[in-house]
Amino acid sequence: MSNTLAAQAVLQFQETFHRIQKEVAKAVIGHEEMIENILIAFFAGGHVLIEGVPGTGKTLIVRSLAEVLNLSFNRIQFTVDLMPADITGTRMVMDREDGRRDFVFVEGPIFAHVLLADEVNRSTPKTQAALLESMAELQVTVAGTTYRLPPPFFVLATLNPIEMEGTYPLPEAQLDRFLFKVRLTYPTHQEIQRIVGSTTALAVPDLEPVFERVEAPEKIMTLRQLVREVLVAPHIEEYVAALVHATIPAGAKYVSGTDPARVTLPKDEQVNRYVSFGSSPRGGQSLMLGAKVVALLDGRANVSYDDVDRVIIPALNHRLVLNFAAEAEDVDPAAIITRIVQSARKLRR
Amino acid sequence: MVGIPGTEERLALAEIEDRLRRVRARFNLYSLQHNLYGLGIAFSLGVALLILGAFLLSPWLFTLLAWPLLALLAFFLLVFLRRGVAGWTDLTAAARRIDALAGLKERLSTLVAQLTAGVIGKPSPSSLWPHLLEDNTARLPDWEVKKVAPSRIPWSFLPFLAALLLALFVITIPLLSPSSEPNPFSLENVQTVLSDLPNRLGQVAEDKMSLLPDSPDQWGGSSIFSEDGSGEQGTAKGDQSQGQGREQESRSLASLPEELQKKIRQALQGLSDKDRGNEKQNADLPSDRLALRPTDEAKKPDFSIQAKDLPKGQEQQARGRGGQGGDDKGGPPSGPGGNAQAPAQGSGIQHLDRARLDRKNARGQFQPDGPQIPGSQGEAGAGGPGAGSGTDPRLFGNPANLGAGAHTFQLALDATHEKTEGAVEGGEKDEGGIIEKSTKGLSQRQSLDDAIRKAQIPPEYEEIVKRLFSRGESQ
Repeated sequence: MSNTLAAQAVLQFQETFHRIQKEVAKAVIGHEEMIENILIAFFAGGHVLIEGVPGTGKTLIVRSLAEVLNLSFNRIQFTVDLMPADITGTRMVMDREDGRRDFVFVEGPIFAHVLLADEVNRSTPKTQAALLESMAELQVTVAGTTYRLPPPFFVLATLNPIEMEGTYPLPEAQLDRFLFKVRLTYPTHQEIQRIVGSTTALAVPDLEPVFERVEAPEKIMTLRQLVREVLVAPHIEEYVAALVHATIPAGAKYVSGTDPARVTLPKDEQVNRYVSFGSSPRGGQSLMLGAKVVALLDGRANVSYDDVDRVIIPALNHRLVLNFAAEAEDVDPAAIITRIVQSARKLRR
Repeated sequence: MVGIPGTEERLALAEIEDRLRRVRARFNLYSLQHNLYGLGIAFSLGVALLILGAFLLSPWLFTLLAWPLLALLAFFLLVFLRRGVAGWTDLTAAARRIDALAGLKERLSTLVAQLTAGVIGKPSPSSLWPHLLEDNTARLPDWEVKKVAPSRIPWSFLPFLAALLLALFVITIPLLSPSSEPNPFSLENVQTVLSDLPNRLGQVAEDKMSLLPDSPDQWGGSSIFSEDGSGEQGTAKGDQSQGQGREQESRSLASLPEELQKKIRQALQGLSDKDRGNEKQNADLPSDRLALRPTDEAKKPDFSIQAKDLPKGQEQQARGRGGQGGDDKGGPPSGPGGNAQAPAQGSGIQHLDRARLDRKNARGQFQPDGPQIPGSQGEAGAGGPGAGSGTDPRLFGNPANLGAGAHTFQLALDATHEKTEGAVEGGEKDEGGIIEKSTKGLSQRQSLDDAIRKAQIPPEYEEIVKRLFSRGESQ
């Protein structure tokens, strides 16, 4: 790729991203930062867990995104009685044309480019595990046969933080499969005013797809490939590793006794006090991939410290396992991460 | 995909690398200077403290202070050495610093990291590599050397300068203070020194300048063919400098405590009553050597030895010694003709003058062109200020035996390094050749040492006593 081609690729990425943002913003009022985070995770090739109170537009965001990207979209409402086969699909006895009967695999709703797993914490752990395994492996195995999920595969799971009765909170290992966790906040006064005005009128916003339906998956995969081509200097890798390592409390279990790390951060007091388990290496991967997308959005071919800082909260906040003291004192993981980032500023020199 | 296939890209890379190296050199220079100045500050302050401690504290307290202070200085040396090593910037670190300074968002450091990894000539790890290079080239104006490189002189230079001046001040105060001052750092003395600083500095500078080679007209530069009359003038100057030399000695004695002076006088049994009287007279002079102006001629006692009362040979000897301030060493041979040879101060007993004479001997500047005959009424040595005639009969032996000038010249050169106490009496008998140390001279020195030991002269005053003793003996 010559200079011009490389620059054009970066420019094309920026344009596509901003067009998607703009189109989704037609349907979703407010939540610009959340939408940007969701798109960053999408182009980084990860999945997003959205947490927010009912009625804040979680489902609308996902549906709008699928429509703008012109990708296939399915929605699964998770309930207690939902079975894994209801998600992945199952083999059914079907009559063939010649009159004979045969087992045929019927694809479940998971076979779509964009999947909305609504209130994923309401289903049983068995069903949750079926979904999360598919998210990680990008494939489904039914009766010994493996079926590949169509790329790009993107899951948006929502969590309802209220009405916790009869729910099954996602285990940490399964939370770790999500690249980002985005928290949807209440819209502001002005945003509510706009929502009320626009959604109760006769006219419905017409979303224009960014890609043609046929070429959309391929183009999206090309853009995802470009993200992975962003260059990273060794000191940025050190910085990311130091940040991830800083989330692990001192004296935690499963920590190697000797760590010959060249760049380390002193353990934050709040980390030691409130965190039971820190981020896994997957957190570092998420951080780096997200930072690469941010770098491309800035028109750069390299990752900077600011890019990492920009995505650290959505990338790590669901990976910190807080202890009882933190829950009792209502400690926000984002606050702990912010402290870590501040203490890591000295590594930038 | 090839990393850097084009010439343009290579040129761009070369330009970036060149500038990066220049900025890095400035970073390192700054860091090095900074550490050196820091170390200089520590050492200047340490030296100043040591000097202050030496004057203000008791020996016990000073010892107590000196060792921790020296240990602290050694610690500082190690700290600054470590900082210097740790602060040394390589290309990657320099690129990171430039990124931070110019807001390049790690563009440059990523590029350098790729180059360090050896991207040139190899398949690029990324299709975005050309974009990175292009991006860096476009941002070259953002990090020009003037913008990102530190100044050539670090800020720590000013504190260093201040510390250095303080140390110099502390060092200078005792030098400019009278030797009799028990506490040079007392407020009164410091005020006195400061108020009279230019004069005192001038005096010290004058003393120091005397170490330098004298002007050619003083040391035979005008040759033996100079006009008549200069000899007389030189004689006059010689007398004057002779007087000054004695004056300094007597002032040194006067600067001693009264009790010590008595002991010294007891030791100086060979001194004549006249000299004792003169020294007593000198004791009334101000003890401050530096404060005493050369213009205070009226106050100066006349130490000049009346040559007319002496035998013929001794008259010359006295003149020759006058140029050396009564030193017990053999005087150097006179300069050519009537030109000046002796130091202007006439203090031939001082080490500084001896060093000068040695140096001049080595250069051969004042080696005579012809023999100087003792007994020729000192005309040869009469010209120099200080009249270091060198016509000591001991150097030449019997005039009748004098041969070619070269022979005499050799004797004179060697004689400057030899003791001549014993040769005074045997001067007439001496037939030339290298003068050997006289047994008598040695015994005299031994007796002098014994006398000093008996009188319990403090070591720091031994030299003064020896000088005075020698002068008395020679007379």
